[in-house]
Amino acid sequence: MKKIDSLILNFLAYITVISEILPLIFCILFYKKLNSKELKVFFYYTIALALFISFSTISLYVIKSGVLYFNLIRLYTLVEYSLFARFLFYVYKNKVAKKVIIYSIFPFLIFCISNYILHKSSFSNSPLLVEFLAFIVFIIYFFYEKMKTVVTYPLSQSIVFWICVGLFLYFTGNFFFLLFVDTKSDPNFAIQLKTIYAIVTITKDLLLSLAFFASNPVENENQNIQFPSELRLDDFTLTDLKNNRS
Amino acid sequence: MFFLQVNSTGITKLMFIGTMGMLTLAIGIIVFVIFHQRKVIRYQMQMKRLETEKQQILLNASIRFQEEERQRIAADLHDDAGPLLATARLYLNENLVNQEKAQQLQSIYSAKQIIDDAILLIRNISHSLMPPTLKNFGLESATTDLFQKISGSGSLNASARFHDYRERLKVEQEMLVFRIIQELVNNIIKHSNAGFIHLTQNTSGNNLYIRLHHDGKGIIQAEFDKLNHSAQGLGLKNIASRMKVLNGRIFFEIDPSQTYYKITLEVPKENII
Repeated sequence: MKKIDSLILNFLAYITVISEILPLIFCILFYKKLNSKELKVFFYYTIALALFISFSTISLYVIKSGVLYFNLIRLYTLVEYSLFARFLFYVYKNKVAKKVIIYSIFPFLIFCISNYILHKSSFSNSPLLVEFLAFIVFIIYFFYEKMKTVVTYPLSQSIVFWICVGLFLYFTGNFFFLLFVDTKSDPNFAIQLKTIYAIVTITKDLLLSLAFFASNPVENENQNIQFPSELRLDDFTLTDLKNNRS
Repeated sequence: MFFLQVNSTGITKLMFIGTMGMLTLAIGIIVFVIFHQRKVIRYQMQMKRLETEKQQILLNASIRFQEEERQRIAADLHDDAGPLLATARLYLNENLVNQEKAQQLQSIYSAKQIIDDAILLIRNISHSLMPPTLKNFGLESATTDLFQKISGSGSLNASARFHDYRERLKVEQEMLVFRIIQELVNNIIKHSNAGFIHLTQNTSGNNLYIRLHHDGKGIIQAEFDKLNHSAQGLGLKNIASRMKVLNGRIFFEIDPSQTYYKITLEVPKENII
């Protein structure tokens, strides 16, 4: 029975690694759909993810250096946070929310550096926990904003929506995994953790990849009408008019 | 599969319940957002249908109004101009030649007076249908004339400045633009308590731009859209439908200085529906 479990676990681990490269493949396949700033940022994220998976596999199985692997995680956490923050910055409509998310990179950076200094020899999952918690909140806000905004097409047709759904499931599903990742317990518990991580990560990668099948219609919201600026339509002096009133 | 094999320690339970709870919550939120948004879209479609029905009602009202206007003109001509001309004809009947010279002159003078009245009456009817300045001299003169009349009343300062109107719009377009300006100015006078109204015009490419500025209590685009979709604001609806006929755009805004409001019209030349 244990042999079967181990076999399934290994299979899941391989699938997870492969699935992490899937979003990048789909981004390249649907390159023409990357016509907005947020999707371009998402493309950079898929590159970062593919690079991280490749390097971490090399560090774990070729170089066999745990320290290098942990440092890679630290660096990737920072890059991932910055890219997701930038992605949501373009997705958000509210200016205050935009500012909050973009400026949140700096305290997170400080937190990561201080965490690195404090836990140089060991690995601490606190930055990851903070990142996950922050993005759970940020994505809930994204859903709230989408509910408020009047659009003429279903959300299920939007690529960005499915990307956010994938990320939301990933952050929520792996949150408890992160909480207990340091817990030293029986091997079965470790198997459980790995299984949850694998299932959630594969689901995320599938959603991020399949998102590109959405038709992605252009939003047609009530925006400010732009008129040519060289028209001299405001060429009057207010004081002159007010003086003439008398 | 693995969950069932693990000993039910506190951590295992907590992690399992926590993860499942988080995932259920996440899926719940996603499903709620999708269904809520679908509901909103259905509501919007229903609103659109109602809007179409309302447009139909407006169109019917407009046709009825035209019919009533025709009936009024017919009644004016029949009841006022008709009797006047009939009376004039009576004065100038065949017996006029048999009358004495003084009486003849008196009859001719009376007939002339009545014909003058008839001319005035017909002119008034004609002017109410089509402002002569607009027809003869175009939008620039008609607008300037309108603003001079407003300014002349002394209640507020009104001025108009046309930068580039060498190429006139089609008569029907000028008429529609003028009616929009009239409606906007009437609204400003009636509702905004403004101290000044200033109009500027310019041309860019194939578009004519007209901007009205006023320092009263104005509205912004969102309020215009709201009023346009509500039962109120028939005048604004007329503006919107005229803009639709012109295939143009209208935009209500407040100046960044927050001191005055602006209403901008964009009218494509020769693009009338």
